[in-house]
Amino acid sequence: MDILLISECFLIVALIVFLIATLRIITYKSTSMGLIGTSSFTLALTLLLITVGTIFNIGFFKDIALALLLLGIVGTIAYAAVMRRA
Amino acid sequence: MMFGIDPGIINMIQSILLVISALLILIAVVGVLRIDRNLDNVVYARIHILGIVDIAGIIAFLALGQPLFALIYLFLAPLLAHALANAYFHSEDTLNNPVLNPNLEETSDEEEDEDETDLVDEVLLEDNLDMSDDSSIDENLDEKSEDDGND
Repeated sequence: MDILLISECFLIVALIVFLIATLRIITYKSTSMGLIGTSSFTLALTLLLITVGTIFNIGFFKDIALALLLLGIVGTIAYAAVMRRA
Repeated sequence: MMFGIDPGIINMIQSILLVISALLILIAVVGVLRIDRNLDNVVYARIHILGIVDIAGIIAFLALGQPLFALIYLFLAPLLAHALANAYFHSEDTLNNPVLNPNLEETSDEEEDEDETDLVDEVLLEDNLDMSDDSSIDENLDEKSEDDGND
C-alpha cells in the first residue's frame, strides 16, 4: 500500500472527526458559534472532497470544492457583517 | 521526475505534510471540545483554536497539489476570523462591549471615581503633613525670634 494513500486515509479520518466536532459547535446556543462552526464545516468538507477526488481521480470534485470554499466563506463574512450592523 | 527530484521523495514529502495537517486537525478538535465553556471570552478562544485548522487546511491543500485553494484560503481565513470576532463583539459580547452592557461602563466610571478620590485623599494627607511641617518650622522660627528678642 502506498504511503501517500495511507496518509490521505489518515487525513480523511481526521477530517471526519473534525466534521463531527464542528457539528457539535454548531449546536451551541449563540449565533456566533453557529457561524464559526459552519465556516469550519465548509473548510473540512472542501478538504474532504479534494482528498477523495485525488484518491479516486474524480475531476469535478475539485470544481465543487472550489465553489463550496468561495461561497461558504463569502457567505459567512456577509452574514457576520449583517449581524454586526444589526 | 519533477524539477529533477525523484517522485518517491515528493510522495514522501506530501505524505509527511498530510500527516502533519491531520495531527494539527486532531489537536484542534481536542482543544475546541475540551475547553471550558464557562470561561470568559471563550468564543474568541475557540476562534483562535480554529485558526490552527485553517493553517492545517492550507498545508493539506498544498500537499494535495492545489495551490489555488491554498492561496484563496490564505487570504480569506484572516478576514473570516476577524469578521466573526467583530460580529460577536458588536452583537453578543455582554462581557466586554459597553454598548450591550451599560453596567460595565458605570462600574468602570465608579472605579475611576474611586481612584480619583484616593488620589485626592493622598494629596490632602500630603498637604497636611506639609502644613504640620510648616507649623513646626514656624514654631521654631518664633522661638528663635523670641530668643533674639531676649538677647
